[in-house]
Amino acid sequence: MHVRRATARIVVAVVAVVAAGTLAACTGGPATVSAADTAAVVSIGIGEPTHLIPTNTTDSSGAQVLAALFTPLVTFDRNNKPVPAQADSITATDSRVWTIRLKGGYTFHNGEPVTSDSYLRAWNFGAYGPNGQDNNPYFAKISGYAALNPTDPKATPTATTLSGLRRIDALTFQVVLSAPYSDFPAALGYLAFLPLPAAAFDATGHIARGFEDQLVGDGPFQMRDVWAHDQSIEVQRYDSYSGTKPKVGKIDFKIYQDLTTAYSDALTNTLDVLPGVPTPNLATAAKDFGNRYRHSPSSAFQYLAFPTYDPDYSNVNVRKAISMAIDRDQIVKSVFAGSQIAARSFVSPVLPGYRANTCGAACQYNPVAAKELYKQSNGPAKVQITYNADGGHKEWVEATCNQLARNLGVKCVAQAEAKLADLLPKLQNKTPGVGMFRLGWVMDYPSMEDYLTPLYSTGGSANYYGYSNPQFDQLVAQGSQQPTGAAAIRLYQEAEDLLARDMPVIPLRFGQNDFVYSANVSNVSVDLFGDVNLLDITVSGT
Amino acid sequence: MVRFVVRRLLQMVIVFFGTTLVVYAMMFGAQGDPIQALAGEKPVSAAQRAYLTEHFHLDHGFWYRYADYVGGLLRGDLGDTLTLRPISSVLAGAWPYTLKLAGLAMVVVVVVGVGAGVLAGVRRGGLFDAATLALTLVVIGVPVVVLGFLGQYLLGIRLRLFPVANEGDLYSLILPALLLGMLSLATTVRLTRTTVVENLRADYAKTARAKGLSRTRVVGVHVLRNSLIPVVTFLGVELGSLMAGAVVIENIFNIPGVGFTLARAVRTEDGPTVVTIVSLLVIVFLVVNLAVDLLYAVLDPRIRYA
Repeated sequence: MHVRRATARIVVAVVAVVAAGTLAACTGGPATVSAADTAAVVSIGIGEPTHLIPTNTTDSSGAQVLAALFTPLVTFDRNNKPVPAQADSITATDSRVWTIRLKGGYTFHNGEPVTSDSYLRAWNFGAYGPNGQDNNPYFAKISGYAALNPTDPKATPTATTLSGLRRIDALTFQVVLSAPYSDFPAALGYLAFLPLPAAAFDATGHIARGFEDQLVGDGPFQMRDVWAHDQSIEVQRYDSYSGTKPKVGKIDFKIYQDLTTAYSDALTNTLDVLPGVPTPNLATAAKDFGNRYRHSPSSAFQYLAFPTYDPDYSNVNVRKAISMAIDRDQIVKSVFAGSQIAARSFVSPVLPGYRANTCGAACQYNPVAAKELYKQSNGPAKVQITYNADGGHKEWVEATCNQLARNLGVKCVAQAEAKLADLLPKLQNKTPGVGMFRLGWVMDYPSMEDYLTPLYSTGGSANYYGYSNPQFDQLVAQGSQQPTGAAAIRLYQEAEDLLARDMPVIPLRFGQNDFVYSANVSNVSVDLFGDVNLLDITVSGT
Repeated sequence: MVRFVVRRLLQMVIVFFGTTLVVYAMMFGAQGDPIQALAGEKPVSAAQRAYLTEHFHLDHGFWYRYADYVGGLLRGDLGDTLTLRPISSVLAGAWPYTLKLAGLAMVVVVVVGVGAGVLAGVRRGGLFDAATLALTLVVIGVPVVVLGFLGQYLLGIRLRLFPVANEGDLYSLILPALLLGMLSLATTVRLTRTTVVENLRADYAKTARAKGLSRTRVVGVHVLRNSLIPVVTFLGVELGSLMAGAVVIENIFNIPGVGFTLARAVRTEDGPTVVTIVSLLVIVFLVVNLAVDLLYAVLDPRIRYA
């Protein structure tokens, strides 16, 4: 693998700027959708999705395909606040009992109308533990979840449907949460909450055989052919779609095992859009693609975490000194060629409620003060950063280690674990000798709570650092019970301020989407989730 | 003849089960947490973990799981991949690609390799002979990974003669097949040349010439037939390395064949898939070897099997 990557880098370094591609079918014309556009095919590079049933889809490739095939209840506006899409309205009196009204006129690609039942059916299936759906935990906030998911996985659940879901009429249903949650409308933008047609299920209530390969959704595009595994997923515009119609007729999602190959295909205009440029190609992408190499904000957050239970790192001043000894901007420039952004806050800048620099002085590079503080607080003479070798983290972890060694006068070891799958169990079991470790986070929906709860709350699903602050937990819990988003955000921000004081993790970088596209297409944009915006994209010349 | 074939087939059965046991044990030993490996950087939901653990008996020991796997095989059930697709349907999709690729590569090897070898042998010491010697030495010295990327870059990206990656048609398979065949090609040329040179000096070739047969007929019929025996042996063995090379080439050119599937299964610690594919590759190897042994008798009537 190492050899291949190195080779790829050399190969791409010599490539000249791509000649402008031509597309015979594209004859130009007014802004309205012309016949030429309908015929035009746009190709987008993805990886092989693990699954395509919405309640089981967690990878970005699957999400991209589902974005074409389904219409979510809400989408997000310019400020990343939820706006109704298939929902007509989402209302609540106390953030606990939510009434969702659907817009009429939407149909699945097989002609079946989209109703309350389409949603209830899909959600009950996803929430039922024995169905083994990967997005199952997203239903945990709905009343009755526990009855569908007994603690002993071998036991049979006492119920098959969520008691918190109630059908009111064909287009209205009610969701009762087990506790108030003001960000629920934002959560509804996530994949887990998409509807499914009756045709998706067989007589036993399971997903019908073959349905996943020929998905029937309610989105702007429908499948043109069955899912050709490892090859392509081909979709075309759904003519009876009642939402905003896309400007291209067909989209081919081309599946690549290796992004470097996809990059080469984009270079030769064989592939139209590659939403993520592989790291080895970042250095030359600007030269290869010119102004067709673009960036857009993403929700990714990279950080360095402390085992706060380890005596070496239990002193908060040691943690702050280490943070101050890291020159984030330098690493962003030298390792990432400017494709990421230095982070000095604990939540992503894409969120409503983000404030710059909440970390304060502890995230400002100050080697002199860092060394002094480190000495005063008796920091360990040897530190270690453990990382997973399967995610391309080696370079920046070693660069960080070198900075710590130089600026703090300590010995620093960059220790690799082969895979993240090997690292996580060690963190889970608090195995001694791991030292500091790198982790990353990508949001499911734009809400501060989607960072604060899993990453920093006591027992949070990704809180591997043993951080526990009752005051923090209480603020976040109070925040999610507020009737309005604005009131919630104020409490979340108070909670974030506690993180700056306690420093359980060091914010390092916020990610960006780095994407390239061929001369065949224009109006290419990539959203927060890393998905190509399929409604905006056009073929060149229109 | 029949007894020979039956004995070989029985040997295959033993080899097949031996292979599955060894490969299964290796996958079992190397496996960390396949469910997490499948999910990548995301946490896996408890519901899915419980479901997959149950489905693949991950909470049981080695012998239970191996017995379960072999039991499935005997019932004709190859099992499921970790993403819950039947391995049989995954393979049904993948084999055509690898067969096309290896077939094309083999055609290149046979046509170009034997052709150039005969030509070099007939015109021994000439310019063509020297040129092929130099070229083949270079090609033999370059690993298939380097050849793959170099070919993709020069012929695909730079000169735009061929598609950079698989596009589903036969045309886009030509470049990868050429590169895949390159290694065997070099050895085939050298081998053919040597045996042709030897056979041209043999008594029977001189006799044929003395009878007044044309040079084309002497080389094309008499010499070539005898020269092919070592070449066929080599090509039979080489089909195995073509399959191995396919793992690398299929990844570079994004061809969803058996090698591509195998590489991904290894990466995602998908035990059942790895074991099934490796075992099938072993079977291919065995069958080809048997076919080669039988071909000897066709090429040289003096060879008989009892």
